[in-house]
Amino acid sequence: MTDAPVSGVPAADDFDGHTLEELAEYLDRGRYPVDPSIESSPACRIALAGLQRLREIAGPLLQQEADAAARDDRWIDEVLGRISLESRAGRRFPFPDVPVGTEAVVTEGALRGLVRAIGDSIPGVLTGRVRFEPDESGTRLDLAVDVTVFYGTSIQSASAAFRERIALLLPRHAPFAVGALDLRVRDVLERGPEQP
Amino acid sequence: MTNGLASRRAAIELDVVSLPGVRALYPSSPLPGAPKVVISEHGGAARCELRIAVDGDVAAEDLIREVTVAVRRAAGDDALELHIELASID
Amino acid sequence: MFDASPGALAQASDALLVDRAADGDGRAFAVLLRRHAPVLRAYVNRLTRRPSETDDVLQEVAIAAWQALPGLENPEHVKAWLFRIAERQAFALLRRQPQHVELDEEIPTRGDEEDRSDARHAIRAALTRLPEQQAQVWVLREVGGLSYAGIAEQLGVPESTVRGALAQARKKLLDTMGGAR
Repeated sequence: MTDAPVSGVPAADDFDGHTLEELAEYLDRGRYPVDPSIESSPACRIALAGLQRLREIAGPLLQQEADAAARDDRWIDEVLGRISLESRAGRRFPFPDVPVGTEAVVTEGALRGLVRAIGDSIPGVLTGRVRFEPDESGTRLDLAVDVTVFYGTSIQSASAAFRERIALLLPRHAPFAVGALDLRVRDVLERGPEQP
Repeated sequence: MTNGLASRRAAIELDVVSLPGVRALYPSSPLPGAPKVVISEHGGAARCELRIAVDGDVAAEDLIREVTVAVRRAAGDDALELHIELASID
Repeated sequence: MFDASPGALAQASDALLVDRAADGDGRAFAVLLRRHAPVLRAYVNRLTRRPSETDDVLQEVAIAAWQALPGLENPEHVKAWLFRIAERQAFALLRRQPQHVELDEEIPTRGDEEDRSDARHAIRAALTRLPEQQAQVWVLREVGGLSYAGIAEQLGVPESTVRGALAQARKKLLDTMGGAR
């Protein structure tokens, strides 16, 4: 971090009147519009070829270094330990039918997790974004759920299974019946779910 | 008194996590060292707060009843007020 | 009670993993981190040249990402977004610990044998030998794709310094490549 600003050396116009920076920017523009003073200069063309090659090396550089390095993801487990504590709880919905002296709520985050898990348990389905809103009476929940399905999954029967399981299971864990369920297929994945 | 509170907290924690359908007790806050069972007392009334991760197999209101019974028994206080948050279901 | 097939999440798109992580799914976040961790690690190594600190930087990246994920507008561009966070955290480390600890080894790689003779290896080695700021500027520009202004902001130096350092770096790397041919 202590290098002084550069003066002189390579910025000198030593490519037939063009600087390396100009040539790099020309390359950034895809060598368009064509600049004859660059294209007709052997020095410029050699430098452009070099810059181009450098760029081709730069592109996959990190991926190659990543592939070559020993994999060590232990830090991820540590991070997960830290973030799970502040999971996204959101709103809190009270249960009406509980013992006297007890207040009990279920968090929005817990219900999202439940809906995700129900969706994931259907073969060929992965749950995405989950949104819901209680209706005006506060006893029914309208849901909007994005899903990804694996190629070959029948969207119709997966939707039916999702609907059925949500209607059965959600009321066991939340003070709500299931109202509207807006299921949106956002993506179709090519490979089968049995692959690792 | 502090000792009494600590041992009550430990007894409640132990009894709650051993209930079928309770997967884990979560700490009361993300701060390091935050307790999993918070007991506060004002006047003569005591109040206990819990954040629970539960099993999807057990219906929530049944579980809440069982947790209420277990906590009051562990605390030796039938009038203990409870605040239970279901923070995760899976 | 509900068990998705274990490999399914690993096949999910970045966008799906982001949506789930934004909703509070730590498992999806872990898959996302595992997917991009090796490249992020290489990037942070290149920017800081302090491999022993990289785990800490990556943890900061992950925590910052977890907190900011719900506001991410284009979930499909999460990789570039993680790169931006990694840049911030890498330079935050360098600001916290400004004394330069010289590395007496190259950034650790296996497979050096195979490409020792080719230009790629020469460039990697040359990059490690460049003065720190020149290497950072080149990596931010050519690998991270940052603008001059973005680099200047990240490094806290004027744009003219960025241009100068970049020119120096390019010149030296081009010389290296000429030598490798």
